[in-house]
Amino acid sequence: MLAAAAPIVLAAFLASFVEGVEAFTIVLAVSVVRGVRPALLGALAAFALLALAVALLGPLIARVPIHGLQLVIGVLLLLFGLGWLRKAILRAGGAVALNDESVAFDKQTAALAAAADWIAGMAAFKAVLLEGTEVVFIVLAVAARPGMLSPAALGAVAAWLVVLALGLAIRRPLARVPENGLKFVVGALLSGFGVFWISEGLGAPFPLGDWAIPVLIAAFLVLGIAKAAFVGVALGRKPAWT
Amino acid sequence: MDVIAALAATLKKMFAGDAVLSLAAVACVVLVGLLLHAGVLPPSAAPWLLTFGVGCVLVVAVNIAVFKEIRKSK
Repeated sequence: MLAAAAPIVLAAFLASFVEGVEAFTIVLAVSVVRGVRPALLGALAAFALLALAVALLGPLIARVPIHGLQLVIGVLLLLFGLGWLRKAILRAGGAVALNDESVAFDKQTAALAAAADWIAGMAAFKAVLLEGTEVVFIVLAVAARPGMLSPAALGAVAAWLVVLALGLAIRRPLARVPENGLKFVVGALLSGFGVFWISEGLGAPFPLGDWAIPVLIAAFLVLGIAKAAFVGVALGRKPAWT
Repeated sequence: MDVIAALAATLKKMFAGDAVLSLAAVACVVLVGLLLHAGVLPPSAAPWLLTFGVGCVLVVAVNIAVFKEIRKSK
């Protein structure tokens, strides 16, 4: 049980943390430029919508036949995870610039300077809704087996609370969070879960059972790190892991 | 409408940010599934072949991006 739950909670927590940092940057920008009220209203409205989505989709997913569900969810998780891993490898290898939350914050504050309160509130709403949509998908997807929705949801909520606590403590964008390093790990986690669910869905499960999940995650991590080092050498650039 | 368009763009980015990577990964899953159900591939080998295939897809997708970057910088 623990072997199955631990990677699920970890995947939900880390993915939610990365998306939370990005959403927090915009909500903070709204709060600094237009005040706390529109930022809070926009963010809370989006949270309510996301909670409704989980409450509606969670039980609905439980009614779908397990093998078909695992196959579909597995493919979607794999596509999502490989996308994150590919981008993280290219960023780590120096082929793509690293994401800078301070730059994103400056852009957002400049864009909001002349905006009305309701437009600023909509910006906060959109940021939380869009980043949260990815979190909702990850929570529902990694928890695609009986009894795992609650631990995954708890992991995701805990991550957003940590982001909120850190953000309120420093009152600046969380620019020092090693975002690319986290994306690397999340990409490997989602890809590992994707391959695992697809195999189960195809009716050809791994002989190791649930222990195959950490093995797959480790395999994707090792492949990603080796590939990022190769990209750095090919482009003659210093790898940037965080 | 703006929020719906942004939501659609997010969903596209989530699952088809790189069309080559997504199509190749799906093709890999379909191929393993077909080989498995045709009885050509033993069920004990299918998960490992799938893992290997997906790993190759990732490596090729990264290589394509790197070659593009090298060509752009020349």
